[in-house]
Amino acid sequence: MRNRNPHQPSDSEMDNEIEFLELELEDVLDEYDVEFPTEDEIMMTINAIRPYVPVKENKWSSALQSVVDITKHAYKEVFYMSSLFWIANGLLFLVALSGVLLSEINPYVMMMTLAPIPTITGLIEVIKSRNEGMAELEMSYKHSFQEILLSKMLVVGSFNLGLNVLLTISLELLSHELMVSKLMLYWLTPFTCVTALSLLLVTRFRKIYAVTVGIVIWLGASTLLAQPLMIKRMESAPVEIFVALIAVAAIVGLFQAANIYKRGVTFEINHQ
Amino acid sequence: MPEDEQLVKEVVAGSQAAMEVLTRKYYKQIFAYVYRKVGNRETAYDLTQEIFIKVFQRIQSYTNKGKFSSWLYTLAVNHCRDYWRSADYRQTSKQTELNETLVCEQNNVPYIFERKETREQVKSAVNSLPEYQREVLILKYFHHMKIKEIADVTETNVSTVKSRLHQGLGKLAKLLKRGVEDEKQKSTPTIR
Repeated sequence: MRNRNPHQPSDSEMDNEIEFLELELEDVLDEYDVEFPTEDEIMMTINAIRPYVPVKENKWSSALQSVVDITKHAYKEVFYMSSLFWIANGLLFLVALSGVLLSEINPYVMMMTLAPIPTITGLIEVIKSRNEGMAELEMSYKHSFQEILLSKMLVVGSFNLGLNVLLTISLELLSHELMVSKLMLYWLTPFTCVTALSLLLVTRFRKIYAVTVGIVIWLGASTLLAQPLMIKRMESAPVEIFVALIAVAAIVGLFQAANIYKRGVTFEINHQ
Repeated sequence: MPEDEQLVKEVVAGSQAAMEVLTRKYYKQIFAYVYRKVGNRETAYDLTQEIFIKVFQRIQSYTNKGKFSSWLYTLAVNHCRDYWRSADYRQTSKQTELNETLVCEQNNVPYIFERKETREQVKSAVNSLPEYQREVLILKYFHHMKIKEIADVTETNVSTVKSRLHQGLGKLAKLLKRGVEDEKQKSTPTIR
């Protein structure tokens, strides 16, 4: 048996003394708070760590897995979108339909003007959640910022796409004189361009007013495009130009989405 | 936590997003530990970055080693110990001593708030403790770890942790009490 040092307290004595000292020092120790690094500094650390993450063995299968993950997450994100987003864009669809049916508005120009609006307004949802709720979601520590951001953009883009397809079908059913291919070309071009631009903007601008500016710019541009002279020029433009624009915008959009996923986005969170 | 294990699996499979989630989840905790251990923001920032780099360099060896957070803390504790023995530390401590002398001279200025003063007192009292005592004290009080967990993280046994904690707290109580008495003496005018 080991002899105990007479000056050393027994286990229970030590526990009691620790407890006593704990109570005595508790409040004073609370004063020792921490000066945490800023969000930019944390982001710098994350970027410094990136090269040390193990490299994926099969790039294609992991890329596919990332797409699957984002799609799964997008399904959940549908429930986080505000009802205002769905209602406002649903109304837009009705306005477009009645505008074409009840007045003499050129359906092609109408489609072109309205096609990207749900994406632009959807950005409000994305930016809003980034400023307010996304930090909470991030706190659940299950998804990274970029996964949430891309999932939201996927919801917005898919909804916009679905709305446009529905509008095309409705117009085609109600007015047989319309050319479906031309109609599609007229909405696909602004839709892809605006979506690509949105992905670029969403990583750079943090404030809601950026969306308001986007809507104003788009409405101004579409008013200009709705001028008879501009319509004439557009109608005489070869189809290849539209197709090329769609292709370039789609490539830029996909490239930007992959970039967001790989490199992440800088977010500002308030530190406690 | 099953989420951590899932995230580790994803990192091992090459997911940058999972790395980011894990880093963000534990960044503040690890930074706070290192900061209180070294007492300097810039050094704490650099050391925290090095710790996380080490974590992801060795992430493949983590499997079946208990809780991820404990494994992470063990790496942080060891990394700080290595730093303590390094030439970098000796260099920084000389600089800190110099800065502290300057700060002490400036401390006579009456505009320093009381709370700030208490914080500085606690900071220097904690920093004056021997490394092993400071380590257990920080883990116990600022990271709310149980004695057994601290023993695991610091790779020692329960009784050693208790003994270090007991000695550290005792010293800290004396140091802080002395600090308060000094302040009282300073503020009481001498009667001749």
